[in-house]
Amino acid sequence: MNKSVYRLAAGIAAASVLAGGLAACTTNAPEEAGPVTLTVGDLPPADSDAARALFEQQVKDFEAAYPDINLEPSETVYDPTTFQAMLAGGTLPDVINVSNTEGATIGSTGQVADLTEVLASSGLGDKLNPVVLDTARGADGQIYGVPTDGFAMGLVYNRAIFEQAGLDPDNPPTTWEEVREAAQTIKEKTGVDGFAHYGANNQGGWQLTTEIYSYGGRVTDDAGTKSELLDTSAAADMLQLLSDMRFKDGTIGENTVYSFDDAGKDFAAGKFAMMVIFSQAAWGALVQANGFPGDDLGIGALPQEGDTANGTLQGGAITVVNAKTTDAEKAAALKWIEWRYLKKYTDETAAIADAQATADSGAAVGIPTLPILNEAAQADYNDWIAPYVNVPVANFAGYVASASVLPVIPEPVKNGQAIFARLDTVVQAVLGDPNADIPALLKAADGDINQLLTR
Amino acid sequence: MTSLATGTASAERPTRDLRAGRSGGHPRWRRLRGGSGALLFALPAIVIFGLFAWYPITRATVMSFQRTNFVQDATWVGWGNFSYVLGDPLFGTAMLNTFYFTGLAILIGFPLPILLAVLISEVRRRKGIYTVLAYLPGVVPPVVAILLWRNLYRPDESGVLNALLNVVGIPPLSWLSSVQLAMPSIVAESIWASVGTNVIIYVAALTQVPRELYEAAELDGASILKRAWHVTIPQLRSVMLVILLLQIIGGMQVFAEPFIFTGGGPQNATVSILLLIYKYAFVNGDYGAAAAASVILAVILAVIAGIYALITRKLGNA
Repeated sequence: MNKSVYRLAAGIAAASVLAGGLAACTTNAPEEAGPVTLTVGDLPPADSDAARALFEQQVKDFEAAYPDINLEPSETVYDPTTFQAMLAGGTLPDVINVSNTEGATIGSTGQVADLTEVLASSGLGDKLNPVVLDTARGADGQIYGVPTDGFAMGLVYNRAIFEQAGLDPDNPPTTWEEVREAAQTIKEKTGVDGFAHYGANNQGGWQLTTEIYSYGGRVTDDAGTKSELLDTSAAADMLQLLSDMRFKDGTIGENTVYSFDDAGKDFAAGKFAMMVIFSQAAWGALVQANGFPGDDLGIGALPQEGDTANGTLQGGAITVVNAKTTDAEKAAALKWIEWRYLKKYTDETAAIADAQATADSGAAVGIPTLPILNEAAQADYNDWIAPYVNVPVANFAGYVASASVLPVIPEPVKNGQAIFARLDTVVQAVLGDPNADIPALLKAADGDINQLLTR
Repeated sequence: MTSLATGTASAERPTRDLRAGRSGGHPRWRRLRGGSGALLFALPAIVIFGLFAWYPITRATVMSFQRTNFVQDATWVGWGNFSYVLGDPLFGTAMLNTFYFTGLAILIGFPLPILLAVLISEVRRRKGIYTVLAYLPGVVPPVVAILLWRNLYRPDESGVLNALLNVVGIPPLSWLSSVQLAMPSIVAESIWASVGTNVIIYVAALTQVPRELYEAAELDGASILKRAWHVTIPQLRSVMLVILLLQIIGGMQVFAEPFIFTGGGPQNATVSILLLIYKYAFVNGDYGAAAAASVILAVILAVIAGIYALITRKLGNA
């Protein structure tokens, strides 16, 4: 008897725990009629005190200014491996910042809200720099995010190695021919490789796309409907240059599967002198993550083919809004995005608070960026934050000067990552085999990219 | 005769007890109540398994026939995802790479732990030290081990392996950057990482082999090799077959090594099926293709397991 009572009780207990658990899983928050509540991601973690305090202060001030909007900050940051699960499970914050490489992908799959209308009706769309706004545009022309940071790819170089090799660190190469010559001089005088090229994690294809732009070519058409790899000789010319540097000059090393992480470590360790990356990533990965001396970091314009300013590839970040939000929530989300990320370009107090908190958290202040709003606002902002700048801005002069000259071109709008992955193998083949048949490699890649664009 | 009678008497006793037990209630009700109690106890396991194993399996199978972005309603695409995956030239490459990896890993990784286990069990003193040494790689977290091995494989003279080659005058090899060497390099690390666990299992299995068998073989004049062939291997057969199956399945599901070592390069020489599935899902955001590729892999593994079951049954009957 005792046994069966125990059995029954245990069974009921187990069943009720499970039922409770299941109920918790399926309960949805009730629809709110009045005030709007938004979960906002990217709350800095507890170990960066100043940045977190600033975020929390911004939330408080925002809620005071907009009493109808309640914010629930969350430490969630964008991660492609958890994004889908959070989206499917309904736990994704309503507002989250995404590197724009990913933004284009998730925008074109319809996984984040289309902000085109609400950007127009709120007036925010008109304030944003149209060139930078293009990074948030999907293949269908709609806008899926608000750009909050804008960068262009440039040439990052080790000033100390330049000096050792007798090169002028204040005049980095601006054409690919000069890059090749500088690399030869560096190899001759110092023994280290002059240049490195990514070849893994889609970064090889990403860098090649950047270089194709600098040669005046494109990888796909603007609408993302077909490959344009063979429309110009840009890709073939660039790959031939890489092959020559690798096998004739010996100025590119043997690693054909370099990831950005590995290249960053090796650059910081002085194993090679030049790489292609955008300004923010250069500082974060080389100086902050790998201890490269900031004073030795030089950033120049992306080298071009000859003297023509063909262009460079855009990078940066966009803030996206959950596709499951209502129109009222979308409008509230835009207000928050403007408050948190864009107010500093129009409000001196906000700019100073942001710069101070960033500097106190040990992050870089003063990395050159593309103007998010417009040139004038950017100039004001640069003046306001001048006392807090903690990076050697003079070393980035070439990069800053190029910003007003070089056209910035977004990534392929459709299936960008898959296209980069396909181009990785082209880079690997060219850097791995002195007899690589470049036209044949490109022809095969062109066919495959067209195939990818139909998916 | 007497003993037989005793036997019968004792055999009757439980029958009587059983009847006595049943007399407490309706037999059918009794059975049902026992069943529901058992079911209640099994419920947590069933629910957890259902939620975290069966539901995802079913969902993935359904998703392999759909196009979904988790926001809008999924659309049915029939066999579209399967035809896309099977038409993707990379899928064929990944399949061949995966078989190549598994084949290489088993060719060396299957006999090696048996050999090591036999050697260790032959050692008479400090056997524990050798077992610990063999198992140590298994203690290192896989990702850390792979990152360490990447330093061994650096393509210039700063790589440990190339530095060693340099000592004997061989020019540096680009281990992970070469289409030919990348896969064998990855396999080498994977064998190093997994051999210890299997050695432990074989050492344990060897202690179960009766010493008399060896003594009898020795008396008959059998050499070490003959003793291994006629005593050790037959005695280890069942353990060997289980480990072989686990190695085949593990090999077919290789992911971390190509993911961290090479990202699938150079020129897709190390893209495995699982890495391709990962890329479909988390790089391209194409969950339908990823689910379809997963289903195809599951079918292949099921076929392999079926063939394995047939062979082992035949061997068992032989």
